[in-house]
Amino acid sequence: MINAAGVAVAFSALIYFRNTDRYEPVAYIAIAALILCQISFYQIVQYQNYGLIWMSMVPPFAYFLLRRKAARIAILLFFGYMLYFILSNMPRWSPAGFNAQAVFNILGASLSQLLMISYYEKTREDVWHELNGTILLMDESRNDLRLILDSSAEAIYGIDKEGNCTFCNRSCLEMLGYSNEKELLGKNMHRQIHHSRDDGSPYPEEDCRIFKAFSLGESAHTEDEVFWRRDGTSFAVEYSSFPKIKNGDIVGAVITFMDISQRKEREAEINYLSFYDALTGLQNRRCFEENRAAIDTRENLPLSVIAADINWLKMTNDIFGHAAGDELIQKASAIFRQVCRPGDIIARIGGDEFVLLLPRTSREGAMEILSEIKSLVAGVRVAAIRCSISAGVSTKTNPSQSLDDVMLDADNGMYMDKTINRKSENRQMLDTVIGDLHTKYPREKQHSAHTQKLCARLGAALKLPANDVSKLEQAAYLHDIGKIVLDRKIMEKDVYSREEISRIMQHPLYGYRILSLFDDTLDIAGYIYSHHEKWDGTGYPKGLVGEQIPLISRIIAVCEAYARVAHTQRLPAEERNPAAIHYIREGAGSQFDPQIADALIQLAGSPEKA
Amino acid sequence: MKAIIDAGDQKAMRGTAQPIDRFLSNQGRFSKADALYRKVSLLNALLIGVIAICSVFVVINIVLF
Repeated sequence: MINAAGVAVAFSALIYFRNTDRYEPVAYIAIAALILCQISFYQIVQYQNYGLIWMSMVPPFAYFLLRRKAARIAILLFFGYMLYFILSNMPRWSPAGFNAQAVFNILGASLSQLLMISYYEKTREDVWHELNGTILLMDESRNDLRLILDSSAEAIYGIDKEGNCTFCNRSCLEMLGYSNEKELLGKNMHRQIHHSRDDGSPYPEEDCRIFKAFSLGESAHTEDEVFWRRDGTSFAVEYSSFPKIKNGDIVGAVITFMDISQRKEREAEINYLSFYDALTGLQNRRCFEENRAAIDTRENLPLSVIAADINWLKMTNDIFGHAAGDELIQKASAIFRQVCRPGDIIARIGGDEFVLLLPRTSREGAMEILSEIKSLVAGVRVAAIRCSISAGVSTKTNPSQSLDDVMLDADNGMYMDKTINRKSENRQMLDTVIGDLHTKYPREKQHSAHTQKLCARLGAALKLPANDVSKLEQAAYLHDIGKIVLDRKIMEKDVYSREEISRIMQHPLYGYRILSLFDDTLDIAGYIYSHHEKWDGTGYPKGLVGEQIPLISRIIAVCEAYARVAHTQRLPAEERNPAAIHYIREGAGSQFDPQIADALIQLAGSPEKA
Repeated sequence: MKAIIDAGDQKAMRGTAQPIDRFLSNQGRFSKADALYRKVSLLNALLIGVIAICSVFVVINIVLF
């Protein structure tokens, strides 16, 4: 009956297993069937023919097919029952006879054991090969992982639950100034690289964002902290921390970071430039607009405003280049800084416009400050430019006054100052430029005087209107003012390079630019521009022909050429006038207007020589 | 990697493996790369063994008793 049940159970289990592939329940059933089968066998055969030797087959099967614990329980139950069975039946047993059946049982059980051992060995061998394969794959994976880690530009390190380093890549070592991974492995990374804040104050581990985040199993991202190198220097970092979770438990964290020092510096620079003027270091308009509200308080009354504008900046830029213009601005700004007190706001709100906000300063106090600024500025020279400023002052004395209105008032004062002083400023500036030219090149002063004198006589001889003669005289005196931009070395040379000739040929243009900036000389600027044009069109700067060239320019051209030869130091005194007349005669009709040349030759030949 | 080995084993099973191997590995559903392969083979063998031995004893019981 038990055997029939064993067949039925084993058969059902086999069918079930082959249909479902569910190993574990079938394994339990199979071991149960094996044990039942053996028990029924011993019930029948008892002790006879060494049949009990088949008991030894249960443990190998149980251990092989079941989990270790389950196998032990099954074996224990089975052997417990068998012990009971043997003890309870032993008194009835007589000595077993050794016969063919006994031999069959002993050999069968031994053979079965041998097969099981072989099977075990084969299985162990397969597992060993598989394990070796897995180890090789793991080594490959580890090498790949190491390669990926080390080739990453981002620094990466791992920590365990206590915050000790478990690995780090090459970028990490390089950024932190270490040469070997062993110098970090096993060390507490917070104490090693994250112990202090940017300002050097201690950064307790319990406050550390990495530590806090991974304790909670969360990730963290920060870009406002620093890490510390081995040499004790720090650098700004952007880091991300990710918790490492194994079987549901937090076992550590992986931290990736980058050195963002350069990025921070650029951000700081951009931030600075968005609030401060790069040229002067003063506040720019944006910064001024933000700060003026803070200074516009009752406590700061009276609040004075100085609106200032640097004169002649455009001329400086046009004539002497933007480097000179920048120098002018920088020097004026330095004076503003020098005179103003801590707490005053100085801002460059336009190209040449400045605003000074002076808290707790009366109008009289502001006027004193302005006076000091003007006197210091007057001593500044850039190239041939004497620095000067136009400025207006206004004071807010009542909280109900709008600062905008006060600033507008100061602005109007500045424009009024500019307008009132325009004429004298113009005259002074022109005198400064001419004076500078003549100081630099004394020969040019004499040449200007000679040309002016000759032009006056020639203009009269040509019967020009008095007004034109006056213009002619003025233009003749200023005709070479554009040479102020030329380098002294060029002016002292006798032979010029091509570049130098090109530079010299620009002096009419610079003369035109300078003179067109002043009201008094605006109408003669055009004559200066054309005084190197030639009658035959081979002159410069425009190559005008014949009467396209203004009459005054033509007269200046003849007189200027005559004066230069007639007063040259290279010829003996008695040869100069004939040489000059010869030069003008030779150039008549080509370089010079023939009529004007003839008039000059006649004039030069008269008793009162040029 | 395991999938490739499995596919290779299954192909080999279908093509050249002995019928016994196919039977013991549940028609090749448990490949050699499978961790349970040897246990499954032994389990099938054990079940067949139990069926065989018990059947023999059933016959003996019927004949003798």
